[in-house]
Amino acid sequence: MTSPFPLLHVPYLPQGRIIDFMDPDALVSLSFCSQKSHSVIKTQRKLPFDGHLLVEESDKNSSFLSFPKFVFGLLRKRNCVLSAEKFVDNINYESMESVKMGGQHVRVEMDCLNGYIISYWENTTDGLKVITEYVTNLFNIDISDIRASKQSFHMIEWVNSRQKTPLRRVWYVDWNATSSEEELIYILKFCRPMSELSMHLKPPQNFRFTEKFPIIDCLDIIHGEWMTLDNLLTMDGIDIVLEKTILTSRDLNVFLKHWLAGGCPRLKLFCARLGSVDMFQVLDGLMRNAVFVENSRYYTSPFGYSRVLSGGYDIQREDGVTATVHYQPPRTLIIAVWPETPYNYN
Amino acid sequence: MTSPASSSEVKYLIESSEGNTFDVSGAALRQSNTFNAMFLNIGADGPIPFTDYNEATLKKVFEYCEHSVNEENYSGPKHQDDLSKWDLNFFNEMDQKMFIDVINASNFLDIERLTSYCCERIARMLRGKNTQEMIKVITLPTAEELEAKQKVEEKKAAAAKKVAEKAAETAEKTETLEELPVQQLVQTTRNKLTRKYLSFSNE
Repeated sequence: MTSPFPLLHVPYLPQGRIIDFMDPDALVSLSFCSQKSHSVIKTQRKLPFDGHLLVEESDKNSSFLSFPKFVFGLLRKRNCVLSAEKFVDNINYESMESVKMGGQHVRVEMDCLNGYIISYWENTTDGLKVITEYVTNLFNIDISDIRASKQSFHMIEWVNSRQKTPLRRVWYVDWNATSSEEELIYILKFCRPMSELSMHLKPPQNFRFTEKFPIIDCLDIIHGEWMTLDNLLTMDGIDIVLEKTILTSRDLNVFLKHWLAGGCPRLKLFCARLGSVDMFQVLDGLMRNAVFVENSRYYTSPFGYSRVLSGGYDIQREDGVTATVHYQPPRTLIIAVWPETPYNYN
Repeated sequence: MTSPASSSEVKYLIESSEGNTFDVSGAALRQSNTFNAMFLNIGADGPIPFTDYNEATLKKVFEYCEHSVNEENYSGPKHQDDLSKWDLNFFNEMDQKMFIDVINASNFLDIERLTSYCCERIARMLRGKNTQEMIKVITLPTAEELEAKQKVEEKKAAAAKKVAEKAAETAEKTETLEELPVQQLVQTTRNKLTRKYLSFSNE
């Protein structure tokens, strides 16, 4: 059926069903049609969205709002809702549609491949703010996830300040950049409670976080040079993955004893790359309680990290919960708590 | 024959807006929650009047219900690719007016499966459309049409204002005219009296 359909004249209930069945990007298109279509979406949309709204400033020239899909923990398909891109010289914007957002007329066009609207701006940061306000108002939801680089760090602050709902996931990723002390402290202090935090950028030299570590279900830090034993002992996480730390085997021994005594009670997977691993030091004082298991076991954590545990020491806590302590050459120590828990990315 | 019995053999008579009646099986009719709430337990003594909908629409709706009698319980709309050939034909052979009528009737009769399929089909039809295309599909006036409409309305308003002004002017004139005979009367009377006075004084 390709003939016209007077959507705004169908009865209330089926109209609401149609709105509920529509994809977020199509709803954004529909909202631009008229004030009435905009208010119909606002009042009729009842179903929760399939996914969480992610705001992402990928580079200086483009930003996205999307309901991302994860496949085995990876962002495979970008379900974009609306994007903001920078004006470039060789495109004729006059021939494009103009819609009203945030009280201003904005040039837009359809991304034919993926079916979402691209809006064009002189300044994509301003554009991202306007489209974020527009979409969160239209769908009456808050931003859940944010992916920012060093240059778009301010978006984390902006999103955090404009809503009461805490952010669920924060990716602060910039492979070549060094974060400032203020930025790291801001994320660790003011983005809580947070379910997932990934930080993939270098810390400033000699940075330490001396306060109580925030409760973060899934922590993934690529440059963990700043992590201290005190940080480990105040953590309360489920999946903790730390790369490039300067923690020692003695530190890990203390952490293991801390876990055996009931510390970090929700822990399922701890994975840290140390300077070097000495299993005797790690298990110092615990060998009587440890059972060596030679078999290879496959372990998947609640947040989807998978590890092969080829040999390892099983240690049992007083309440009967068992963890496998596994050394993965050359410098990684893994603590995997049984039983495995099925993961759920959304 | 109408009866509250639950056997699928039972037929019910349905009356359309034209006053025509036709048979629908109990099993098909029971897919309508409206029917279930209104007639299932108490039965119906004559044709069941669904007189807000024409015969063609009701027949189409119940054709779907008869077809899906033996399908498993409804568990959300299927993906387009999962629709059977029969389902695809059923939707494809409807024109726009019939489609809207079927949605309205299905909504009134509260037939979950059919309403959902119809709604999902429309949602799918709106996928990947830009605003201009969307405006055409949902038959909204475009910005140009709205502007033209506004101009026409402004013209109409200006014309109406002119007419109103003219009417007010005319009313004012009428008022003056209405006043004129009185003045004339006074003047005439005054003239008469003056003439009388003059004639007296001449006598």
